[in-house]
Amino acid sequence: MKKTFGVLVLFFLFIACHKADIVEPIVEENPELSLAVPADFPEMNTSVAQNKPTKFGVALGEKLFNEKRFSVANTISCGSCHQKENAFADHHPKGVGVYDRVGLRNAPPVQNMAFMKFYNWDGNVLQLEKQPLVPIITHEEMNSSIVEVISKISAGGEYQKLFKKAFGDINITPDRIYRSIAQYEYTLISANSKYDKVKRNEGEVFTETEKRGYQAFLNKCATCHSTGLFTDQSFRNVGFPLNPSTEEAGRSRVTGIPSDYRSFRVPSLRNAEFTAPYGSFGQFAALIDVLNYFDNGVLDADNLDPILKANGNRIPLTETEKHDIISFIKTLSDEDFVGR
Amino acid sequence: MISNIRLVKADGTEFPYHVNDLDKGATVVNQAKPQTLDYVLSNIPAGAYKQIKFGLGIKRELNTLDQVKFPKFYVATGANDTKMMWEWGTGYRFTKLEGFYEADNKEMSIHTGSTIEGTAGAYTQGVDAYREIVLDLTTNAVVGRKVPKITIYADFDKLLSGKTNTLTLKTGTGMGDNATPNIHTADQMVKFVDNLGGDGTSDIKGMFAISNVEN
Ligand code: HEC
Ligand code: HEC
Repeated sequence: MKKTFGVLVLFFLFIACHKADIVEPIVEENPELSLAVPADFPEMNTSVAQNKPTKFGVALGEKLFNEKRFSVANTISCGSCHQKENAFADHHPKGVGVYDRVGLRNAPPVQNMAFMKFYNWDGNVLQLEKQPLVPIITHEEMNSSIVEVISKISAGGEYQKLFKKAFGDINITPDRIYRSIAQYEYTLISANSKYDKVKRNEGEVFTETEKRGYQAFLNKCATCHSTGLFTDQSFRNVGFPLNPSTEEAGRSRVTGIPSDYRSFRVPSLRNAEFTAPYGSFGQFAALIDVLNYFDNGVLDADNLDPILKANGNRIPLTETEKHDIISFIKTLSDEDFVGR
Repeated sequence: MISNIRLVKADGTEFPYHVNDLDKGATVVNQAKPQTLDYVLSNIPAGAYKQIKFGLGIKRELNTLDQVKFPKFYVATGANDTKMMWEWGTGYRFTKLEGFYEADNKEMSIHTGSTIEGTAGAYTQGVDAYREIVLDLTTNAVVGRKVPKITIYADFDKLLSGKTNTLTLKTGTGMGDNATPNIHTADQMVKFVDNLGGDGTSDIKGMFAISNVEN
């Protein structure tokens, strides 16, 4: 008899607590952040509208982006390979993950992702929310699993509060992890370089060298490195030195189409000053090496881009043009973005 | 990797076997692990069955690694001696054939898996390596007081000499080279897929055949 009574009391206490919770909701406002579309940028990926960045979603995403417990040995975060001061790229030829394991490709800068339709060098991912799981489980990157990540970050109770602020309750789910990281990445917009300021008539002007470089760039590079993103997001084989790994097939790894063999997404050149080395596996140490290579002649292939084929498999450039173009590319450096 | 198993009764009705639950209805058949060659289907309604259908690989809707939903299958496919996950595609490898070929023992490594994006009828990119296999049983399998046993034979000779393609293994890093660990490329993969699992239209058996039904 006594026992039953005890249980009843506990039960009442529980309900009382619960009621108090409902009466006094500590719901903090979580406003949506608006993303401005810079001039000449293409429209946003349709996924952004399904996952609009919010104040606390982005804050959580940023914290997760820099969370080393994402990796099996708690040593590598997304930010280890995507470093802010390098426009969210790094200086390794190929990604270096847990236990110094080396991956297949060069880490691209994570910038202006909201405006991209294809992610990665081969465009295998079409939605940013679907990307974070890849490094988490990849042997050469973080070598973990999403359940392992959730169990690690659940310890201590700190993240529960942040998930509640961002998503309304304390549940840490895979989907919320992917969504908050993507929200953060959507806010990483770089469009405040000297080039942008010149274009917006904000008082800055190109030097003579930069002006000549811009002209040469428009003549020889801008078919592919086009729009405000400096990529048309097409996949092309421009005859760069080949990655010796038999796992590399470029775009055709995804599509299975022979004419996509060893084709890669045209990379954006924004902040290129900070993202050396260059090429899909860091073949080129410096910008001048890329330009010398184009000038000297690229590798032939059946599917070599017609623009190069029409020019005898090269993009002829004088030494002055190379110098000028590099000066121009440096006007795409966005100091605000990289926090320099 | 086998999933999406359906048993067809003599009267034509279909019994789907945990087709949306990889933990219960999918399995990795591994020649290196004899115990995986037997797969027991439980709680099958009594009756006579004339046909078996199954998927070689994982159908599109379920081919995204989901450790929370299917923890058992995640472990089974992620195990070090299996490695049936395709990290960059966050899906599964459907078949994996590893070994050596020709007198000088050149390395052979053929993996298949889907890279398809979008929804059925509106795929935006990628190749579909999932194949539906349909096999008529040699005699009806009668589920009732006894436990029938269906033996399915997979003829790996079909890998190269299939109904759809006749292939020659070639080592190298070129576009046509198919034998080397071009593990992750979709280039040559589809030809192997069509041989192993059929092309989905004129061939719905691929390398498979019913060798025996024991009642
Ligand atoms: C070991 C280094 C490494 C780590 C850790 C890493 N990445 Fe990456 N990241 C890369 C490489 C290399 C690529 C290019 C992959 C490819 O093209 O196949 C990439 C590509 C990307 C892209 C696509 C960029 C583009 O231009 O399309 C995004 C977004 C990204 N990573 C975000 C992340 C997030 C989020 C994390 C953490 C969950 C992460 N990365 C962890 C190396 C890394
Ligand atoms: C036909 C299209 C095309 C033209 C024209 C072109 N590029 Fe590119 N560019 C690409 C592609 C595709 C890649 C990536 C290739 C790869 O990694 O295999 C690339 C890579 C680069 C890179 C390396 C970027 C990085 O982050 O790794 C630089 C720098 C570059 N191009 C500059 C230029 C300049 C400067 C010009 C004009 C002189 C030019 N490109 C002309 C398509 C083009």
